[in-house]
Amino acid sequence: MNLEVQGWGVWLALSAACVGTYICRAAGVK
Amino acid sequence: VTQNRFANRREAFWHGIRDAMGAPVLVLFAGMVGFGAMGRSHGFDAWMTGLTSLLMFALPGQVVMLEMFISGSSLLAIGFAVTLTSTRFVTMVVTLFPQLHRRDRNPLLYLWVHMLAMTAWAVSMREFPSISPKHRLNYFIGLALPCWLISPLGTVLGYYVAGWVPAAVTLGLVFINPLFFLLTFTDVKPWANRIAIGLGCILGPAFFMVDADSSLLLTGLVGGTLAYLIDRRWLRPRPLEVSA
Repeated sequence: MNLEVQGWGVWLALSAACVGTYICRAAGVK
Repeated sequence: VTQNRFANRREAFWHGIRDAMGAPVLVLFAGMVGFGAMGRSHGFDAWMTGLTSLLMFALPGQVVMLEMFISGSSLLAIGFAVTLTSTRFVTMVVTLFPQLHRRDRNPLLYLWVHMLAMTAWAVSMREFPSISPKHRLNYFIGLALPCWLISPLGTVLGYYVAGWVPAAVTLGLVFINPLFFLLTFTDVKPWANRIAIGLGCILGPAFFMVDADSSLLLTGLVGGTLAYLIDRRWLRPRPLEVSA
């Protein structure tokens, strides 16, 4: 795994984690 | 009782800021310093580590993301696991936001909800009953905003001081946050909370010895349910008509 792939992967992981966390917060609003 | 604790919304907001500036901000800061150090030891860069605190702002989820990424889990698995750790927010939001004034319960809440974390939640749950509904959202924002903004700062600081402080100390900092939550929550009146915490202290280690992987979940489920039932059956005052 070269550095660039790792770089993209980690940002995608962060995005997935952010979306998941936000969904949980937003799910309670309504 | 003190329905008009604040003169207006602005005063409620600033009071929230003032309440945040003591223990809540310090506690979150400490936890995030611990997380920052963890990010560094796991080989993440400072931007990435700081952004998780800004964009996720959920310490257990952040730790799970770090650990799973290092162990080479798939993106789907990471997203799913982090989402599972964040399901607590659903119960936090549905217990806190209905206490807001009807006028404040609009789509803007989708923005404010991002700042909800256990620290601000626990303090809000304790303070809301003594605050007039129309001032509650402003109080909450005042309380939660500094907590949120301090988190990436603490994380980046922790990232850079990681080498200077023993790892045991920085890791220990991560646990200050749950400890603060525990103490604030014990302060809340309903007995169910205190019973739940007491049962957690007993059941947690017991379940851990039986099966470590499921112990946390089982402790919460069994201890929480038992506390609720005990409170409902024996301790709670007979229901009165609740005035709106």
